[in-house]
Amino acid sequence: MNLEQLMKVQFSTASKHPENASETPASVTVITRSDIRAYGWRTLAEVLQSVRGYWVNSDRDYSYLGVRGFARPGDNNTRILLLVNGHRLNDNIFYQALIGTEFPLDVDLIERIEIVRGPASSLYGTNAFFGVINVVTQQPPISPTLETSVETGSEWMRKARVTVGLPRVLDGILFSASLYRFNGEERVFFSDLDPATTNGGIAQDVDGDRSESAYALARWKHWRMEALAGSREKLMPTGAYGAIFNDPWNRSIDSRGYGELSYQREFVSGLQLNSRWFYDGYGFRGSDAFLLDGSRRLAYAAARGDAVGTELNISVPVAHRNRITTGFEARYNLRKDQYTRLEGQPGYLLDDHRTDAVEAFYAQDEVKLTSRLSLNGGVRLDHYRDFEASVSPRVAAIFKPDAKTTLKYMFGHAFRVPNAYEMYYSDPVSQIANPALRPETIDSHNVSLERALTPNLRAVAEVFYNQLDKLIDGRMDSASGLTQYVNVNSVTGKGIEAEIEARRGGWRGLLSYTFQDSRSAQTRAALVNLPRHVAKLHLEAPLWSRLLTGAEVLYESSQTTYVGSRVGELVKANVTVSTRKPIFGLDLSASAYNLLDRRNYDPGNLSLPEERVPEYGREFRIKLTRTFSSH
Amino acid sequence: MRRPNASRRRRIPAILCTFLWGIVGCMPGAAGEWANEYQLKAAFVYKMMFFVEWPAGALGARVVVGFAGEGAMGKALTDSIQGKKLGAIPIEVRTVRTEAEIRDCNVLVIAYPDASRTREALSFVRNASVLTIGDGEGFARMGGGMALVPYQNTFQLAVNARAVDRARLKVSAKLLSLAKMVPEEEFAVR
Repeated sequence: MNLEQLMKVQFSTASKHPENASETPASVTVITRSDIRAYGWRTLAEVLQSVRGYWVNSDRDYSYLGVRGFARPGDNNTRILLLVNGHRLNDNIFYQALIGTEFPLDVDLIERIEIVRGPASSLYGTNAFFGVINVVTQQPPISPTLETSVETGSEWMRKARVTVGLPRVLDGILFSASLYRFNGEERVFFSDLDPATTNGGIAQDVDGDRSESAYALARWKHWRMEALAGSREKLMPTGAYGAIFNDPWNRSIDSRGYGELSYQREFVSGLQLNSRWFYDGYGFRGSDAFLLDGSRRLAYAAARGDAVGTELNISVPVAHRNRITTGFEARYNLRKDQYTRLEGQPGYLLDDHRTDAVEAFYAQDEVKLTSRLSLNGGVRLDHYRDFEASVSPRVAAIFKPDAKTTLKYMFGHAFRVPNAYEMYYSDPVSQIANPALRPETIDSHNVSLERALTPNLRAVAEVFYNQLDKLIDGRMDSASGLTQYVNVNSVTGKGIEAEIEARRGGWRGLLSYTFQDSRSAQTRAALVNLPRHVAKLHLEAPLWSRLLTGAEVLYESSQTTYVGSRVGELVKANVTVSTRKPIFGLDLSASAYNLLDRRNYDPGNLSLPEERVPEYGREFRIKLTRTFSSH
Repeated sequence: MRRPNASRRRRIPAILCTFLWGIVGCMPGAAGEWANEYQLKAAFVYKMMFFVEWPAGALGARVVVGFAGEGAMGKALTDSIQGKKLGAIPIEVRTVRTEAEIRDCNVLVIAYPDASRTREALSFVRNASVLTIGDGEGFARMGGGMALVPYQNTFQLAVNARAVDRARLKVSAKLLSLAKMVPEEEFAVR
């Protein structure tokens, strides 16, 4: 057979091509290591804030993601599933996706991030509600490598990392450790607080942040062993949960880690086998200073979660046009403990211990009906000990009329089970338990059209419509004045998104815009905490021959806070200049964040006394990386 | 709490959908010849070698086809082209893992799932007379010589002329006429 004839032979569906996002039955954005470097993003939250349709709020403790016209105040990102190399990172007590400095993986270790919009419970089960974020780590390099990196910045930020890659040990190992310290803003001014009782509304020297993290990966034949651990301590300048404002003992510590052994094998026939066995650990410790009977006393809150589990996934091509994937997942939560106690008082205010388990089975079929049209259908059945079984279907049709155009329609049904915090947490000052909570669900429709207008110009347009039922939301209990999580009414959300990307030579420009509107299905009232317009501009440009400039401008229209007040629009410009090739063996990067020093605010949440929380002003960072390699 | 009526109402469309999916999934495929993806790629690698001329002295007693990557492609190459000949020269397929092994190839098939190692492998043979072959247009953009680009269930060819020139390889006009020419990204291989 000659070359021309070979080019006419059709291949049966076998491997997944990493660059073929257009064939994925979802709306996908991929962020690469070079993007992270070019734009100087310091945390996963900053990466996600740059992605079409996403926005991020912070209360100077955690970062909260909004997407698809939805972000409940302080919802801990429980409706986004965060994965590291396919391993679930949402913890088993709060189901929280940690994305700020509390994300336990150093962003320098990220190879790429696959950001999938829309529900994916049909593959992943709970929390894959509005989207899935899969962080793929670097692999051991081909040559032995030692990489060291140091950085420093505004408010006496300093960070150090050392990474070792040894390809000849087993079939490659990678080890990395990072240390981060940040003094925080010396004076944080909260304009909505009563100046008479709050040091003039100024929180002084109580914004510090520190973290340590380590990552290890070993490969041997088809086996992989992976371990990740990180701990972050943050001082809280806001006086959250009714604590004494400006007290240095208002702080939270999050520790997250996992260990995983996996076996992955692919055969020439296209059969793929993936299995994993894992342990997950999560710990939270918080302290808050309260004024009780005229004296200052500390309240301690803690949570501890342990889980073990396994997953088996087999994917096989059938009759040329089908690829059938089936899988089984079991997760046993050995411990879901929550404690609260008061200094000087014997016993616990809360001492709650839970265990539970989930077993799930899923199947998916990808059918290439014609060379232009393919269908993808899947369903997953999750069996929980405490809830009725959840069935999550998904259907997608992908039509590619020519090499330049992709049209997709996607429907998905997803669910999120209430977490232990929403169901069982209670204390006398902040929250009432609600063991009667049921899972919330979403039905989502999404149409996207992508077209390469010229070889260097690409455009995407997308429409989505979501229907949420039995939404779990915090409400003020009128009798006690405390928060309680309840299944509230339905919510409908809709929006449009557009993106255009141009490349020429070393230049790249990316402009995206989202319009979104979500309302209570009953009252038609618009949801709070929601910018109706979100826009982003990104520009990469070579500077002389050795430097690269990455600049971004982020815009969010004004938002209504949960108390009904308004937070003004957000405009933020960040610029990074970095070396494209090492100079004297050094990679150098210099960044300015919020270059215009604009006063931006994020809406507050139920646990805060403030209606709005100021973001950081102008900040600088300088970073040096030295790589020692045997080649 | 179970609600039998609601669950029955949902079961009927679910059964209907599964039934329809079964019919769609079993419908006969589009006409034409079908092949296994990896065997087809291995056939391409073998065929493409005949359209390339190495500089004098670059080829030794054997043509070494190195496989640097993960997955089943290495096995497919061994099964399909080990022991075949390029003209009179026998072909030897090797799995290559180190820099020295990678440099010691005449053809390098790269199939890493990550861009970092792909770039690293390409940097080792940047100025060597090695024909590099990989997946997707992005491979050619980042400095690879030739790429197999999936399009409507078939593979099309992409060539980075700058990369093959750098390798001092002469690619026949016939292959170039069938391929899409892809520009190299600035600073593609670091």
